[in-house]
Amino acid sequence: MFSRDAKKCLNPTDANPEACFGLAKDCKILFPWFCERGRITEKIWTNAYSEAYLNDKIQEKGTKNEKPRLKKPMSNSSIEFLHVSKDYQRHFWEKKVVAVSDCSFSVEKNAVTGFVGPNGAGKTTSIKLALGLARPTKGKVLVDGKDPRSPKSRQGISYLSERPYFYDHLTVIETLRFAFRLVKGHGNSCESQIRRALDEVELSASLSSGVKDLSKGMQQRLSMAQALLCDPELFILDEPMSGLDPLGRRLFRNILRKLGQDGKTVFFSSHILDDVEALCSKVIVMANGTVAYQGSLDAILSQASGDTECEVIGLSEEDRRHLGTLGYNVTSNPNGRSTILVPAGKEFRECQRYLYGKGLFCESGSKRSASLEDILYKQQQDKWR
Amino acid sequence: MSAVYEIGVNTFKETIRNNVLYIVLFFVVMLIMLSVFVADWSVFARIQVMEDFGLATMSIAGLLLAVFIGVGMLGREIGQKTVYHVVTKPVSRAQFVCGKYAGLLTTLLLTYLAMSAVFLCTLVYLGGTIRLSLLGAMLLIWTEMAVVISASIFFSTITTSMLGSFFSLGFYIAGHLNDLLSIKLVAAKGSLYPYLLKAIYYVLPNLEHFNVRDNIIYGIGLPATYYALAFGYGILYATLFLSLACLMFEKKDL
Amino acid sequence: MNNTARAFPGAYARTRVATGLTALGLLVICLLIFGAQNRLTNIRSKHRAPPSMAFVPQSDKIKPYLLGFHTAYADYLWIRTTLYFGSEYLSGGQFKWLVHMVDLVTRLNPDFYPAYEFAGLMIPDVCNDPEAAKVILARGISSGVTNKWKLWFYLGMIYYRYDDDKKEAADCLERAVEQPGAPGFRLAGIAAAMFRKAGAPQEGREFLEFIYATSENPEVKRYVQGKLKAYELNE
Repeated sequence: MFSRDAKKCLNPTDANPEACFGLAKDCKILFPWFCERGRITEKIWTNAYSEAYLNDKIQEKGTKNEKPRLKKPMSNSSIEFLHVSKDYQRHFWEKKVVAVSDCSFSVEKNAVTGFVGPNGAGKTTSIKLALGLARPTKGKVLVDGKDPRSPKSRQGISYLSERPYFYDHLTVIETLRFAFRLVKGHGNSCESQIRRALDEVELSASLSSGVKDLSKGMQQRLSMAQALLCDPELFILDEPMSGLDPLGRRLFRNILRKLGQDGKTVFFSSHILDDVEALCSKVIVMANGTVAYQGSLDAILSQASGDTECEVIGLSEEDRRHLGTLGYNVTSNPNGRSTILVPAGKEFRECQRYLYGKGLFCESGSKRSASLEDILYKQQQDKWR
Repeated sequence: MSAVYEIGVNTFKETIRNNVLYIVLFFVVMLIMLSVFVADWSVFARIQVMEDFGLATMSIAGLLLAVFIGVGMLGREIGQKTVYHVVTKPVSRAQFVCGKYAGLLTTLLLTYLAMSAVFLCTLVYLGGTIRLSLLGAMLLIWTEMAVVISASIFFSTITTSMLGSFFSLGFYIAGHLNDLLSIKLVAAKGSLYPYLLKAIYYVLPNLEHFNVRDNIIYGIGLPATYYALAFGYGILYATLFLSLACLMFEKKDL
Repeated sequence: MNNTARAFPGAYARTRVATGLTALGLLVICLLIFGAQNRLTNIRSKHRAPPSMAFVPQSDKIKPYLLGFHTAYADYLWIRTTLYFGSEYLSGGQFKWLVHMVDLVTRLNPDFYPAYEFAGLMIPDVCNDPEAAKVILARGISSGVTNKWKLWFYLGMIYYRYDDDKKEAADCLERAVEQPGAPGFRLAGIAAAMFRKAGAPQEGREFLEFIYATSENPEVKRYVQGKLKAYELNE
């Protein structure tokens, strides 16, 4: 049914946008088909298929009456940043501060995405842009395909702020009731949902306590409880673990894990990279106001694999010296065992050949995988900063 | 609308627990009772003095409450970031501002009713009568309060709390002095001065339209249309300031 | 085209319509306000009430209760007095409370000179109450104000114009001349004329000769000499 050119358009990385556009325009049947199947990515859409561009093209060809009906591509991204920049300038005589610069990333639906980066990288600013709390200077932010400044886009979104900002004059239950009714309206019964949310964060005992009487950790739990209310689809959490004791952190980990398993989209920023490693399938790394990496966590971890360890019995002093000259680190252990450390990037084959020649074998071996922390801050310090 | 109601209820709870409210209320009640003694000292008849003093006290109280509570409210929300709790929900910024205004207005209405009750009881105790014109004057004082509060909220969206307080105070004073500009001026031919003053007169609100105390105490009646028109005038100004506040808050980066 | 227009063309168009409607709505509100303001001003001008007298005390017995702020209260009362005067003048009023207010100001603050000057100049004329003016001026003369020569002068004019008592007027002017800061030689000429009209020309001549003898200013001597010659001619 489709020509070779049309088939090429099905693979966006190979496609020539101009050709695809021309094809799509001429074959109006094809165009919606492309969009619906998500074959045309957001980038191609914004760069080539904007309404103005289409209209120009149509007018060029003299087919003014044949305006194709534009349909937004069904994206599987919850949040999309497209070449977003944000500058701040408090007073006109002050210099502009660039918080985010030409930042593009997308947060996949039904996935738990970690948002990491050093202090001042632009994480909180990006979260504010995603929630419509600030307006981007350039570029576009989409939340479920909508402008985040529109209240409708925040239906189905929960936000947990970096620090708990609650009204001091309210109690715990009043705070949750207020949060619930802002989303669901006054008529809906909220007591059961509130109690369920408080049970989940283990705060049921403080139902009638004033918010100002709670400790920071308890306020953080209250923040999570209000985020869990109303069963949203998208969770945007800004450092949810901050201020929590180890039990609290464990509780929150379980909650986030469960949310991921339930198919919710969770987008959270954190400085505790162990949590990001444990919970996320995707990660976005920010540095200096721009995206340094985005993709799956496994991919970034495997990019920088760690050292390999091998335990050998019966290695002599001469063997150790020789292996040392070959670039391997050998350490002696009790009971006549030695550990050979093969640095990351170095081939183990040479060591293996030598050992086989001496009639020695690895009793046990393991690959020391690098942690996200290692990658971001120790091994890749120069790259990411 | 449900969001406006919820935010209004929350604001009502917040302001009703504000100590400044009770301090101002206490002083107003004291001053109204003091007016009994002031009335004995004045050249004027006791009842008229009490009416004048009582109405003036309630008007000043409205200004104080608007400045102390109204101006700081939005600024405090933005500074303490409690606004995040609301605007990250499916609630528009205009709904937030309107909810805040509704809540504050409700609190001040209850406070004003309390002041009015004390005033009317004291008046009746001194032998005065509760007339329709007096109730009309009280309604107009309340309308003036609503206008000043809406202006305070507007100032709080464009500047800091301290500057906003000064602007609100200046707005009140300018609004009352504005009445002087309604007098026809005799100026040299070709002079732009009268036109300039006239322009200022129309740009600034004339809060003296809400002040009918002199008419009340001298018994110079005003037609019912005046009260209705003044009330409508106040509602229009409050709507204007509230709309501007919504527009300014919409553009603000939080 | 701004960033929003580029990013959300459809939404931007809707926003433009909403903005236009909002601007139109605000314009309508402004026009309604303009109309209401005009109407209210018209109604008010037809039913204008005089300024409230509620804050004007009956007497200076209120002084102890002012807790030392009686001069500040006098200042406030003076402002009310001038506003009252202006409002009564524009509306053709009777100035019923003017004397009382000026009197009260001078009782609360005896050194407040403008009130005495006002009393001397305006009260006899607008309130038809020269006696009240005399009382207030006498209070000013016994107080610590400067420019007392003016107060004597006003008193003299009241006697001359309203009481037709030229002798008393001349005596007042004679006292005015003796006050520090007085333009003595000019007042002396007026005083001498009053003495002559009062039927006491000898006193007038002696008064002028006294000024001539005591003055060291050649201009004054020349002026008084001229007045003496005219005086003798009129005799």
